[in-house]
Amino acid sequence: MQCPETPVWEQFLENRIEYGPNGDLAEHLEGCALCREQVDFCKSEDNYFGSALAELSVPDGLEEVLISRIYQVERSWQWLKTGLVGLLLSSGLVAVFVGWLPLFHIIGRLTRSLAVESILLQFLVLLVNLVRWAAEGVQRGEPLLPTFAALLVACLAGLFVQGRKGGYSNA
Amino acid sequence: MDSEEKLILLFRQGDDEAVAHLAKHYGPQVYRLARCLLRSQEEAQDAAGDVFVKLYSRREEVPLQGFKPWLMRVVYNHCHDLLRRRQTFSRLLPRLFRMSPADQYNGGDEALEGADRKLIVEEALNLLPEQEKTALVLRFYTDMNYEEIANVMGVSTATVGTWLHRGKARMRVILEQRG
Repeated sequence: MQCPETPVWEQFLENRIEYGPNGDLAEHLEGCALCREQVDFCKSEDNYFGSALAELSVPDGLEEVLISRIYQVERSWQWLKTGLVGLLLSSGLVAVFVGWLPLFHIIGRLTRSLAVESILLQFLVLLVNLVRWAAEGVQRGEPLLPTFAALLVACLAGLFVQGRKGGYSNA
Repeated sequence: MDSEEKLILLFRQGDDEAVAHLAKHYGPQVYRLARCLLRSQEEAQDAAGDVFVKLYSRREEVPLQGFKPWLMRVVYNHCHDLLRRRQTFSRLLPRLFRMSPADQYNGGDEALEGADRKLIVEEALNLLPEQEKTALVLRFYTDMNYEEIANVMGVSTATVGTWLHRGKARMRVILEQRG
């Protein structure tokens, strides 16, 4: 059998072929010292390239950089999601207040009288008054006021929700 | 289920330790393939970060089996997208994006001369055509077989064999010339 070329031996070493152009390669190898030398050369070359390429440098701290990048993007998404939820919620509240202003005036007066000592209730009253103020602005035809109020409420809602969630989530 | 499949399952659930383990084990391989395609250390590090962010944000889609070839394919496609966008920009704004001869070879990060074997190998690798260089890195650094490399690069196994054969021959000549 004529000796196969180097690419054939490379494929043989990869276990991709058993037979060459002229017959069984393993059988030929047993009987041909020249081809055994060629195969040994291919193996040592593979080892050489393997060890040479293993020396390609990697920046220090790559693992930490990758991990912090993942969680940084995840946190940004969380903030964006909670901000959007807050904005939608506050826009909904403003829309409701516009339609039910007289009722909320009464509720506002009642809660102000009750919430003298509780800080949390006072905070809630402040939020309610902000939204009521935005709604009154809409009634007067002043579009900027409700936008600013809604944004403020959205930020506060976002902070509140983000604080409760405790940062990025792990399912 | 083997240990890698268990790790991927935990990663899909967003487990912090699984994330750290994958970054530690596959980060260098992802970086090296990106470095091979993008030629700049900063770009390769950014690309590796982008790939891991994509991986995490779509972690439910990560396959349980054949993870490494799948990951290398994601890196390969991501880097090619970046190169395509860069080519588009460089056509529109040629003066801003013209690279110096040094940058073309190694991103201007390392000196062209150097007795250090690491630098000689990197230099030799950067002188190869992209396909041969990519095939060599995938074969000898990530230890992928011909079929997996063919799947990543979107070509036949015969073409991979040709590129590897030519790439090794060229590397041999370059390394012999540089001692």
